[in-house]
Amino acid sequence: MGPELTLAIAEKRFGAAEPPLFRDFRLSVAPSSVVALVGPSGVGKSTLLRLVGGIDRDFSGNIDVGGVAAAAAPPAGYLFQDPRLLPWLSALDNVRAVVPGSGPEAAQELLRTVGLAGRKRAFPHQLSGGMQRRVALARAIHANRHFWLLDEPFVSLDPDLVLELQRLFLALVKRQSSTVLLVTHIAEEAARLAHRAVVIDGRPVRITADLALPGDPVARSAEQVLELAALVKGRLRSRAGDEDATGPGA
Amino acid sequence: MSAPGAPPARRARRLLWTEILSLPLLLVIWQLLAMLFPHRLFPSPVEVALEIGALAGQGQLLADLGKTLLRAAVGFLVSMVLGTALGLLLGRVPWLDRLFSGWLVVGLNLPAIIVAIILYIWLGLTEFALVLAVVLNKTPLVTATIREGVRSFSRDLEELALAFRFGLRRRIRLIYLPQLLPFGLAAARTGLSLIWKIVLVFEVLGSDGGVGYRISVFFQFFDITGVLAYTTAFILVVLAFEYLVMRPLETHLLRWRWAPS
Repeated sequence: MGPELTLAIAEKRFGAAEPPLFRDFRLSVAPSSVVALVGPSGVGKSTLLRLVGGIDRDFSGNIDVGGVAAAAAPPAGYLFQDPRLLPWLSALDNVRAVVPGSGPEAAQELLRTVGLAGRKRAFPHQLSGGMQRRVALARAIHANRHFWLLDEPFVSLDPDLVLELQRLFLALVKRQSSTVLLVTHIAEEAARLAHRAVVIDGRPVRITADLALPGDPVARSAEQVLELAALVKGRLRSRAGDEDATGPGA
Repeated sequence: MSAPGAPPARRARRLLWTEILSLPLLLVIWQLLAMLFPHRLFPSPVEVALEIGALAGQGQLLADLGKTLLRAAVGFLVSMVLGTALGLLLGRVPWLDRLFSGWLVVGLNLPAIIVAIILYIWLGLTEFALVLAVVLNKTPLVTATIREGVRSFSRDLEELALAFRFGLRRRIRLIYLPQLLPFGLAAARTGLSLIWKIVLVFEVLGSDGGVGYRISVFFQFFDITGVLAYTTAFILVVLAFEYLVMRPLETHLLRWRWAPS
């Protein structure tokens, strides 16, 4: 069972001269639900994820993860926008590194799950960009099975792999009842994976739409996904030149 | 230079042979020059090799080498430890860095010989003065290199450590030490070449034995064969250290880096 998230950010700003990024921002995420944070690039989605992950602790207000302040809560399964592996560790050791004293078996199993069983001894520089992202995904799952913070998890992977990993993601979420906060700028991704899409925009950041996406994501048909995607996209402010807000991923 | 179509394995092998032949080539050139310009003050490598054998037989050569190596080793280790500690401190604490960066510039640029002279005057021609002079000359170099390493620590990996709640020990082992390692190795390498040079100079200046001392004695007799015999023996030790210790160590410790083959 995943934890409940309660965000009540009084203020978050970078530098006193800048306008605040968040002011009186509130969001609750029900336990074991997948919430997609959708918004144009640069709006502050990644910052929000860093706050919830306890990486950025410089804000006023409260962020609770399962009733504990974010920075004191157990680590989330965090996936950064870049793979961010430790270059001096093998793929296997990168996955193991996030759980102190973890043996090789669980990590090996996860590498098999993301299709990298044969490359466990490879150093990151010996893996392609897509493979590195899959190792990072395995690492995130290893760190915490019930609570994931994912920053654009499926960008810059080839489309077949995206579908496969998304299927895997849905299966894992269902089996482990994980709570997931998923940052994306792609409406289809939210429509395919989430129970709820929260569209944010502006400065300070406001929630411009909070959409419940009906039905179990695993059971959604392609038509339903398209329908929901159109719904999300309709609430997403389109920016001139920001055409990737609609694309299937770079 | 190599044929564009050559398979990488063959090209790598050819490069390896080129490297292996590098030092014998130097010997051959020396031998040829000695045959071309025969002179009492320009012995051939064969004569020098015989002299090395003779000097080693008397036991003097090994005793002198041992003395010099011991001084170099103590100076090296002390300055590595001291320099690393100072580098970490200056890299992490901005006001200390501001306060002492001027000192560091002085230390980096102070001619080695001056340090030695001052210490010899103050402390006498002692072993301690010699090693201290080595340490004072090398430590600023290590400090500056390590400080650079600390300054280049990645923000991204710091975030990673925070996200996965790495404790201090795991942070040091998995995040900081590996980032510092290339800088430590660079400091060791540049420091070592500096030490090989200044230890001998300090020994010439004032000591009761060691390679530098013996060379200065040979110098007074214009015994060029003796000078070259000692130099060659010393260089052999340095080369052995480079190829048997430094290179394998570096290859092993930095095997995770992308390396052109």
